[in-house]
Amino acid sequence: MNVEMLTNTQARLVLQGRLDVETAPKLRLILLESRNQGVKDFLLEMSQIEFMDSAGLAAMVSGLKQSKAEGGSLKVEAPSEAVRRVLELTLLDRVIGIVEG
Amino acid sequence: MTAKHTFPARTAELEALGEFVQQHGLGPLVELGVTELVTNAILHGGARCIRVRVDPASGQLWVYDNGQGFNPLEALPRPMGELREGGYGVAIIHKVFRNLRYCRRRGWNCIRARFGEVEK
Repeated sequence: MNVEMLTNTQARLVLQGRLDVETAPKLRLILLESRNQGVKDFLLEMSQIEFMDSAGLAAMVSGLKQSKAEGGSLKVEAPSEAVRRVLELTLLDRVIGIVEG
Repeated sequence: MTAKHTFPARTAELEALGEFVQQHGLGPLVELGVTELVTNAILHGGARCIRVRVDPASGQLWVYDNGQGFNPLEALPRPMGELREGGYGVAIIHKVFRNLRYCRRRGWNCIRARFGEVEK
C-alpha cells in the first residue's frame, strides 16, 4: 500500500493485490496512522485489487465511518471488478462514494 | 470428478484456496463465497484443519472443518446497503450460493452449497 499526500489533509492510498481477512488489518492501520497525522479525506485507488471479501469491505467501511465522524470523507477510486462485485452484492455501491478512473 | 484441497486453518492459506478454486474453472463469485465460508470456520469455529471439495460438473462444493460445532447458516443475514463494520460475510454466502446445508459428523462441520446459476 502506497500513501500519496494530495494536500495536508487529503491522501490517496494505492491498494494492490488481495484485501481479505489476512491483509485488511494493514489497511485499518494505515487509515488510523494517516488520521492521526491529520488526514481527513481519503481516496482509495483500488484498480489493482485482485480479490476483496467481507473483511476487506469491513475495513473500508470502518475507515469511512471514522473519517465521517471527524468531518472527513473516504471515497473509492477506479474500483476493480473484484471490488465492484462486493460493493454491488452488499448494495454498498449506493452508499460509498465511487470516483471513476 | 471432485477435487479436494486440504490445508491448515490459517488465514494465510486463503490465497492458495483462491488459486485452487480458479484452477478448477470456478468463477470469482464462487471464490468469494468459499473464502467467506472458510474464514468463518477459521475465526469462529476454532478449526485446525479445513478441507474444500468441489465438483464443477454438478455445481456443488463442500467445506469441512474440524472446529467446534458451528453453523454459520443459523445467523440471520443482516440487511444489505447499511454502513456497518461487519456482518457482511453471511449475507454474501446466501447471495452467492443456493441450497446451503449444514451438518455435523464425526467431529467435523460440513457445509454443502450449490453454485452456478447465480454466477454473473
